[in-house]
Formats: sequence, C-alpha cells, structure tokens
Amino acid sequence: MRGQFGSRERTKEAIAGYLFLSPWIIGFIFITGGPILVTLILSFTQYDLVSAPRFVGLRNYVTMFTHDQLFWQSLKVTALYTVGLLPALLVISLLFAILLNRKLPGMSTMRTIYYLPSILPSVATTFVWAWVLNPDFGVFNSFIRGLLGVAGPRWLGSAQWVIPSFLMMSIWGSIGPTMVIFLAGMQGIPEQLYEAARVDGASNVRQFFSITLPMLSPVILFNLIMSLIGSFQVFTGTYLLTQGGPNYASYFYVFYLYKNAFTQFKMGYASALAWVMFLIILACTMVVLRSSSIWVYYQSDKSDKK
Amino acid sequence: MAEKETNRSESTVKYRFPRLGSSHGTKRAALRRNGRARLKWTAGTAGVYLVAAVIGIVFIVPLLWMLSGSLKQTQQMFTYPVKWIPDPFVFRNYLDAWNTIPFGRFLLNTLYFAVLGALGDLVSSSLVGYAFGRLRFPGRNILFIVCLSTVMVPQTAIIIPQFILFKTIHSIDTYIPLILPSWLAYPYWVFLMRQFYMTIPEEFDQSAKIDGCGYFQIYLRILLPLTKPALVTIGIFAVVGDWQKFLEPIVYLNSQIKYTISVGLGLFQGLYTTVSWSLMMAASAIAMFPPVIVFFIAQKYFMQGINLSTGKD
Repeated sequence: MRGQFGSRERTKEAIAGYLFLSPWIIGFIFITGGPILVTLILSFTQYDLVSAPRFVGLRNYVTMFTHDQLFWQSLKVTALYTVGLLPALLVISLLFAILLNRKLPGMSTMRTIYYLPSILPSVATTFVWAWVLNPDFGVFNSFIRGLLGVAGPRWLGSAQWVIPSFLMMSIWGSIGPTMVIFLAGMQGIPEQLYEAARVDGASNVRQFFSITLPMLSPVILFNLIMSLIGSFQVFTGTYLLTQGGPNYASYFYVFYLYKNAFTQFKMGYASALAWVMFLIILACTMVVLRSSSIWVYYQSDKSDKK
Repeated sequence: MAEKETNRSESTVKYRFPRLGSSHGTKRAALRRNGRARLKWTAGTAGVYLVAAVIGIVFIVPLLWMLSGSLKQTQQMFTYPVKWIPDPFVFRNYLDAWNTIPFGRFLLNTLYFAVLGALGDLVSSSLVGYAFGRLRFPGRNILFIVCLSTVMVPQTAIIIPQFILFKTIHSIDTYIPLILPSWLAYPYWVFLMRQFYMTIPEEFDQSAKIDGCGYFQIYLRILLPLTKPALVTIGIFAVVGDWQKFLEPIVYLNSQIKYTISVGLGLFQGLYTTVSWSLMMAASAIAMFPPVIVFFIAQKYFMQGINLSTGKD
C-alpha cells in the first residue's frame, strides 16, 4: 500500500520527522552536545568572562597535572568516594530488592518508604543529616554512646569520617530508585527458569546465583553506569556543610570545578577540569562496558524492536 | 573512534534493557510467590517482615529526628541522652522558620519554574519521542543513539558554556536558564516517551492516515491522548526533580527575591550560628512537605516511570 505512494510519501514523512525532532536538535546544539565541544575549546584558553578569551594552548592542563595539589586532592576524594559508593549501593539495593520481591501485603509500602528519601530536596536532607550526625547532640552518636559506651566519631568534622558520612547520606538518598529498577528487572525474569531449576532440585541460593543474577546482569550494568556518573556529581553537601573540609578531606571534584568557574571566574581552567572529568567518566564507562561482555548475560534476540 | 564505540555499546544497553521487563509470566510469578508464601508463612514471611520493617525504621529515623527537632525548644536540642518527644511541643518554630526567610516567595518561585519547566519537558519530549518512536527518516537510528549518549553527559561538564550562552543573551538572574533546557527535550524523557510510543499499535496511525490525517494531526488527536500515563509520570518526575535542583539555581540566580526553595533554604547555612537547629529542622520540613505530598498522591506514577524505562507498560 505504502509502495504506491513511493518516494513522495517518504519525503513527507522524513520532513515531518525532522520537524518533530527540532526541539532536540536545537537542544543538542546549544544545551547538551555543543557545549561539550565549547568546553574543550575553552579549556585551551584563559577566560574571565570580562575580557576576551586568550589562547594559552595546553597550559591549563599542564598546570593542573603538575602544579595543582587541589586538583589531585579533589580527584582522590572523588575516587575514594566512588570506590566506596558503587559496591555498597549496588549490593545493598540488590539485597533490598530480593527482600521486597514477593507478593506479600505491605511490600509496596516498604518500597515507598525506601524510595521516599530520593524525592526530597537535597538541601533539606543535607541539613537533616548534619543534625543527625551532630557529634554531641545527634541521634547517631547518642546510639553509639548508649550501645557501646564510647563517644562516636566527629563525622562531618573529622577528616577520617567525612567521606563515610557522605557515603551514608548518598546511599540513603539513592537506594530507592536503584532498588526499584532491580525489582522491575526481577519481575521480568521468566518463571519457567525457576520452575525448571526447582524440578532439578536447585536450592534458593543456587537459583539466585544461576538464574536471578545472570538474568539481572544487564540491569546491574545499567545501575552501575548510572551510579558511576552520579558519583562524580557530589556538590550540595560539600557546598553547604563542609566547604571541602576538614583539611580538604571532602574537597570533591565538582566543588573544585564550581569554585574555579563561579567564584574565581577562571572559566578556561574550569573548562579543562570539566573536560578531564568528562574523559574520566567516559573511560570508566568504557572499561565497564568492555568488561560487560564477560559478566553481562544477554538472551538471544529475536524480537528486538527497532 | 573510541567515542563511537561507547555510543554503540551504550545503545546496546538501552536497546536490550526493555526486553527484560517485556517478558511474560508475571501473573504466574505472582501465583508462585503467593503459593510459596503460604507454605512458609511462619519462619520465612515473619523474617521478611521483620527485616523489612527494621530497615524501614532505619530509613525514616533521620526524618523522625528532623520532626522531633523541629518541635523542640532550643535548649532541649542539646541534651544527652537524646529526647525524642519534645516537651513542650513548640509549633511556633514553624512560624518562626517561615518568617526567617521569605518562604512564601521562594515556594512560589519554585512552583513557577517547576511548572513551566515540566510543561516544557512534556511538550518537547512527546514531540521528539514521536519522531524517534514513530516516524521513518534518514539518520533516525544514529540520531537516537546520539540522543541517548547525551544522557551520560553530566550537567557539571557543560555548565560553563551554558552559563556563557545565557550570559550572552542577558538572561542571568532570570528563570530562562532554568526553564529553557526543559523545552529543548531532555534526552532521558525522550527515551521514555519513545519507549511508550512503541507500545502503541501502528494500526492507529495507519487508519488515521487513510482518513487523511497529517502527521501532526495523528500526533495530536490519536497518540497524545494515548500517552497520557507516560506524560503524567514524566510531569511528576520533572516537577519533583526541579524542586530538588540546587546547582543550576545557585549558578544562575543572584537576587534573593528570585531564589528557589533549595537555594533559599541554603540561606540558613549562612545563619548557622545565629539561627537555632530547631528552626533549621522546621524549615527543612516545610521544604520537604510539597514533594512528599506529591509523592504519596502519585506514588503509582513513580513506579510506573521505572517500569516504563524497563519496557513494561
């Protein structure tokens, strides 16, 4: 039927397609894609927003890697945090998903409660955590003193404990969405697999490792990549509570970028920082994706819709 | 070359992702779980409830602690061992917190920018999603992969050019930088809309086309009403997301009168030493109130959003 109209119909459809696409195309040029390129160009300049950008070649990058201790410190802090966050977040939310993945009354209420922190304004939750973790009068240290009889750590005020404090805040805030994605994935695993396994006498643990985990691996990959990107974006807590302290122990990368760009107006240098971050995330994602051929299991595709 | 590789692999992730949820047998799975639950009611189920409840309590402890603190007298905040029940209850704290900063104004500002932003998200993502999910044109798949890969670009990596752009068009200290990007199709919403369009049978378009409808007519009259569930979900996510935004408002807004709720609440940090913790807790509770209400009313749509991204309808 379509064939009779031939190319004219197809041209019409193509024109309509591009028209419908136009908000995204404009957005790509000015808001998302284009700026990546502009950031790269700016990273080779010195630019304070007042006078015109001055080309300085690779100087920003050279300074960053050879002279800038804060750059290395912020990188270290962010890396430490990422390494702590990813396994903890993924394992805990997977465990929670297993826990809640049953048709029992009340399970959806639990899911709602676990999800709740993620929809709250981060500034408000940051203040709440500051009060929860208050070394002298917070509820946490009160528990510790009551249970163990010793004074708890200084949390946000301690160079040693500030990263664990941030980890706690982030895990509390992002476990819900991660868990719900796992749950959705689990509900898509065909029941026949479990039936067959039970016929063969496989235990629950064995079923988990032989069916659930492999079938869920694409979802794990998705959550891993999304959390990885998110872990580079810690900002609110540093900005409001610690200002990177104590002793630069919570000097997160994005905080450093923000300071360069919007308090010192070193736009060129900040752009170089942004590009380094972009490359690091890209590299990490590539490593994860490359390795995924080993640990991610895909069913053979018959009904791939395109 | 390297970048291209990532894009392709990324798209693989997304393409395959939906298949997970689209499998059948959910009903039977439910039946099975019911059956098993009844069998192991005593040990297993009790254990599940116990563990789930303990975790649930741990999750809301910070919020209960906030509520408790928000109703205490200042000197009651600083006791050991801690007291959970305020004595007396100081409801006045909420009034004082409300008057410490121009809360009403900040709430209105946030509502204004969140509603206009969400509207833009809906219009743009449903238009672009229609193109990607429904229409055939050269380069569609490549463009879609490009679109998906920009989901992975963190906002902080591109905020400098955006800032310069908005400075050039003289819109610093306005809501334009906060709203305009929403009207230009946020890639993640585009992805969700496309997934949803693809669940609608093509016959709808075909018969409309035979009746002489143009593409815009098909979109507006036939498909838009059918995508309502997806639109509601995206709208809610967008409003709640805007309510949380912090980095963009502090970068773009200078005058206090224009602050959003997050930035305005941040003012308390400057008052750290002069304003008591109980007022800060009351202020935090006020700021949390609107999204919590939305969340409880629209819970179902939050979960639907997740299912949408995994390909269930």
